[in-house]
Amino acid sequence: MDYEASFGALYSYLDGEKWVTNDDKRNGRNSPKARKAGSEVGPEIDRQVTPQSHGIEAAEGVGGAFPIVGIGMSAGGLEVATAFLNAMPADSGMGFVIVQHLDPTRESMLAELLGRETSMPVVRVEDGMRVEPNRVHVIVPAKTLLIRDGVLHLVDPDAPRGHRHPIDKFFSALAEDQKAKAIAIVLSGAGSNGTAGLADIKQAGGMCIAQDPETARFDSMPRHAIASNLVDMVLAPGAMPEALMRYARHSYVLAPRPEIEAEDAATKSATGLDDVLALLNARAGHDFSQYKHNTLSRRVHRRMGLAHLEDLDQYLDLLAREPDEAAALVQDLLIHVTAFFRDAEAWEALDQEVITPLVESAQTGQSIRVWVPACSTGEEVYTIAMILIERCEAANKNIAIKVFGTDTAEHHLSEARKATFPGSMIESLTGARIERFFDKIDDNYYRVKPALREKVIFAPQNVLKDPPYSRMDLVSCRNLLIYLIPVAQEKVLSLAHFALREGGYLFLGNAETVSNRDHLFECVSKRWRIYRRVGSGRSPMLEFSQWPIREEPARAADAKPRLADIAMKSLAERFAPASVLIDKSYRVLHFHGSTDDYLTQPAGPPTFDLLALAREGLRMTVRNVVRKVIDTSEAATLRSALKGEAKNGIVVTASPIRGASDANLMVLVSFARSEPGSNDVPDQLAAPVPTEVRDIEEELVSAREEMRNTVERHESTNEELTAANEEVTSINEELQATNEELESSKEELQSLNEELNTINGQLGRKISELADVTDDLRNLLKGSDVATIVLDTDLRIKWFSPPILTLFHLIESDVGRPVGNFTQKFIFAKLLEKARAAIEDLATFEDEVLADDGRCLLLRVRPYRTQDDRIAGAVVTFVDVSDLKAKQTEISDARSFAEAIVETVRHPLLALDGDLRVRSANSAFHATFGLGPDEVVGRLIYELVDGQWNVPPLRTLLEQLIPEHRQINDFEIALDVPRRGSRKMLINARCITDSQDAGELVLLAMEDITERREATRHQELLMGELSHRVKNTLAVVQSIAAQTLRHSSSLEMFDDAFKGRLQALARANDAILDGNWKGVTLRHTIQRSLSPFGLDARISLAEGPEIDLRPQACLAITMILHELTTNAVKYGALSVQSGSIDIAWRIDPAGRDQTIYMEWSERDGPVVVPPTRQGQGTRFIERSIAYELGGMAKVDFDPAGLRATLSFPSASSIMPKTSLGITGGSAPSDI
Amino acid sequence: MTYRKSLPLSGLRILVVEDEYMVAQLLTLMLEDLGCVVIGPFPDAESGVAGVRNNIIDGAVLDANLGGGMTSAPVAAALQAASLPFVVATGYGSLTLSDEALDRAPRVTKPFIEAKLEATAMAAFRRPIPAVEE
Repeated sequence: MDYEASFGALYSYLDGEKWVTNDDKRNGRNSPKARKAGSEVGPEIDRQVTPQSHGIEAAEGVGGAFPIVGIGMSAGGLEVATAFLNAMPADSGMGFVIVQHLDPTRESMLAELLGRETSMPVVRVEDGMRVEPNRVHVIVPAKTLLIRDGVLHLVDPDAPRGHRHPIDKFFSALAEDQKAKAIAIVLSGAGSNGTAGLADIKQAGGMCIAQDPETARFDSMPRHAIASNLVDMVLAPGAMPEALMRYARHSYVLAPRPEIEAEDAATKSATGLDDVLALLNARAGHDFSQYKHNTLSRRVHRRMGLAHLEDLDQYLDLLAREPDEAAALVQDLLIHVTAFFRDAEAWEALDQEVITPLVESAQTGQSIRVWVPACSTGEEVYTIAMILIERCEAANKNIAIKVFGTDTAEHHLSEARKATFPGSMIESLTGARIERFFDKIDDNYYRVKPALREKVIFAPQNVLKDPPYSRMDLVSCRNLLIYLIPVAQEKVLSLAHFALREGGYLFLGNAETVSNRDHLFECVSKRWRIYRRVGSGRSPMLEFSQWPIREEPARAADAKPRLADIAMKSLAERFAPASVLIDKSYRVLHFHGSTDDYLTQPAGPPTFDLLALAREGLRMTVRNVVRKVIDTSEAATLRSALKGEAKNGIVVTASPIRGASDANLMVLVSFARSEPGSNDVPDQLAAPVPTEVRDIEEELVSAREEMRNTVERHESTNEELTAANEEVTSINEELQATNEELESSKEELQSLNEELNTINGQLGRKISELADVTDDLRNLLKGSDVATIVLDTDLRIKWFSPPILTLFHLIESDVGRPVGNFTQKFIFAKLLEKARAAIEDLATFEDEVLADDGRCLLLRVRPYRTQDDRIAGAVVTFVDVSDLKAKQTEISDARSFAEAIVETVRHPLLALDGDLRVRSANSAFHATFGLGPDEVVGRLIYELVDGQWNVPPLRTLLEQLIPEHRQINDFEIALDVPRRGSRKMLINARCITDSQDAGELVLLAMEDITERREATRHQELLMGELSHRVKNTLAVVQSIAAQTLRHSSSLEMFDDAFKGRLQALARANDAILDGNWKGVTLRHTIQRSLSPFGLDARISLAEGPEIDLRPQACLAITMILHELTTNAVKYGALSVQSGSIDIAWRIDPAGRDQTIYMEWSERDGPVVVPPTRQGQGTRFIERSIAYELGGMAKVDFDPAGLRATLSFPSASSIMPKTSLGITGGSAPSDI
Repeated sequence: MTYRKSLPLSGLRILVVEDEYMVAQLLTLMLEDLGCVVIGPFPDAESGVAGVRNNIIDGAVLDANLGGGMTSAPVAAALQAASLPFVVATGYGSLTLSDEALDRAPRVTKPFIEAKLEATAMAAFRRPIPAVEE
């Protein structure tokens, strides 16, 4: 059916209101005309916001935080979406959701393809994914996409394939979720998907854009959308982004304001909503003043957003300037509302007044037929069917119910046929009804149960153009008339009258009446607009296509009559006989003059049939004369008489009046009374011969008999025709059902076609990609220089790469020939054998072969696997590894060299792998730690040497080593090394990134620094000791000086004594140095002490035990001996030539707690005189030995010679045997 | 020694520990010249500790190194326990001493300089003069 044409036909009745389409018929209750209809309509305004209604308040709102753009597309959409996204700035702040008709079984590459075209991220939708601004979300196949609270939901599609409208579904969900921030774009595609969704977008206050069909490869989808009048802008894809951006920046989207007026009060602008409404009223004749103002202002604001105007004054200017804008605004202000049981009271009235009586009077087996013209999406149709089913069940009658729903809008019909409704509409019904008539198919949708669905038939029909249905019990024609001009209203009412059976009911909308067709209908309920058809005849207006033409004569008849016409008319009345003008079927078209004498209206319904009107007796004559005229096309006259009158008193004259064609032949039948005897016309029954009379009467009798038979036959034929008619009607219904099926099939095919187109587009892309890949592969093969030859299962050549020519004598045409036929230019005899093994046993072979030209080649033979994992031959490749071989040798040499170095190094070295396991250790390591290679290799470093490396700081360092490419430098660790005790080691480690697949390599070197450390420490100690000793010695010198000074009476004396003592001190130090600070023998000490005196011969040293003195003891004894010697030289044995001295020593007792006794005996000297007081020397001797050695000195002034006995414990004086002196330990020096 | 007019350390009882007789004598002389009463000298730690315990002293001069691996650390500990000040005499100069108490104490280095010894001793030993004394 040509919908465009049907729209056009409808428009012509709309008195310039071209914006009204069938879509809006159901919007009628909100239209201004509905408002005008008076008090009955008043409550309607309030009812709109009740929860039952699918009300505007619930539908509109401000939406989410940012605009979400739903893009619906199908075949040919890919290029368009590409162009669109290309032009779209990446930071638009809008979220994009692409919904496409997709084959559910096919993986879509849409997201990948689009992802290459835009800088925005492109993601495939996952269930529960939130729409993000500046991101493109692409639907996945086999799912229906919905959105709730800005979160995308994937659900399994409910409708069978072909009925699916994923774009509609998404747009509807988007509208409900995002309200004013919902933007829908319909791009290229076949079919009408998307258009129904746009209605919801529009209703929610969102924006609708359609692609300019001129730019679309498949323009059906955008054309449908545009035809629906829902689209705000028609744009080429490249122009969409700019329009979107401007719209999205408008305050309507950015900061939706609930009321223009409220805001205007605060601003300077004096212009308010009232000005807009006044303008609309003046311009378009629509009074919206009874509309809710916040709704109006939102919609006006939306229009401002589309016009990119922020100021209401400017918009008002635009409105005044552009009639289109005014029309668009009016359309926007008319709100689409539809629902089940809308106007519950009216339906209750219908139930009581019409349906219940209908069901009561119907017999079981009869049918009740209802017609709902302009049914839109079928809610009303289902409502009536529900009431009927309920009543039939209540009355327990099996009555066939047929409810026909017709509309011109195919997309509404397909919605109605789907019989699926959103929960918001269904849930206002009573629970019992939902239970009885609906199946819940998911959270949001209900489907009509088959029992109800099969009572209902939907078909496309234009009520003003197409033939109507007939024999209906009820015609429900609500809210259609209010859109029509009066003439069209009358037409519809006449059609309803025609369609109804006798006594059938008409149900109109609240604002509608039968007006001047009240002779066709009687009122059943004035309040609820229920009427009953009256009269058994049919209304004369049964032509369905030439309405406007018929209008013309009607208007001419009303024109003012001219004087000539008046004269003609009076003349005719006076002189012309009573006449009637009839058509060929005896239907009276016009009565002229007084026909009462000849014609009379029979009892029963009024009729225009001349034969029925003719008075008894005239009927036959009239028929004969008219037939004669029709047969001959010439005037004819017959005489006749009325019943009971004189014979032949009436002359009936018929003359043909030619119309435009033979078909329009009309006949003027005149009646006149003639004088008896006048013979100017033939007398039908004149002067009958008596015998002839008898014959004629007999003939009449037989004719009557025949006539009766004919009548009976006619009646039976009539019955047959009635039956045939019924049959035809049922066939018609069947055909309509078939038609419906075909419509569905067509839709299915369309969607299949779309899918195929989509897939085709994707395949095209894929092919070009494959071509690219092929190029890549070819170049790769050429570039890799790998000689490759592919063999089939019979070892015939399938393909080879050019480098193979150096190994076989091949030319292009050798493809297909067995490879065994060719001489090979390399040394390998088993090629065929290996190829066969690859094909039969899947054996892979790899070996190095030598080419005749000296190259070393790596030969690989592998099975050739197809994509489906079949073995279709073998692949033989030759890789030139000559260089590799050379490098390998080089590397191997370098390796040996490196290994030799490692082995030569005396420091222990470890090579660790990435897991810190030992890969190898050098011999120094093995030697140092006494571990064999098998105890080391493969172990964790922490496990080695009793886990002594497993200390946290080293662990940290080692573990950072690889990931951070650090080094370990001179990490000091103390290790207990078997047989060598505690050793200090310095650890150095480097991480070497291994070029081979062995991973990381850690080289760890250990340096035993125990000795070095010890030496350093010793040196430091020595330095300290040196300082200490020097200073101490200086202090001693200071003391010597001070005390010598104290006891010197003259400077000479001081000089003498001081020098001597200083020298003694020096000698003691010499002695100590001789012993290298490790002890000095007592004998050596004595010899040293006495050496400066040069008196060797006079001093005899007795044999004594070897005693190692401590340095301190050595010093003390030296100083004592100095005092004794000085004294002996001055006053004692050495002061004379004869004197001598004996020195002896012993240890007593042997063993522990020894005491050393040392004796100084002078003899042959001058007589010793004991001093009167103790001299400085004596005191020094006694005190110093006591003080420093814990010993005793006894000086005996024997006259024969001074004798001094020193005794001191060995513990304080003898160097311990075990001690190694300074070197041995940490003990500081003795001094 | 009374020829010096002002002996700021006069009458302070200072214990001396020094292993070397000659040096001990020198220290004794020098301290006495400063007016101190020398307790000791003691040649080793053991006797030094006993000296601290058995005498009433105002402070001590300790030789850090007492020979044979011994130090005057025990004496320093005994002095610290009794909250008595002490000065360390050492030839190590500014070298670190192994005992912490000794290392932290004021130092006079060998050979002794009278002025330095006096200043160090003054700083270490001189207490506020009680009112009853002159």
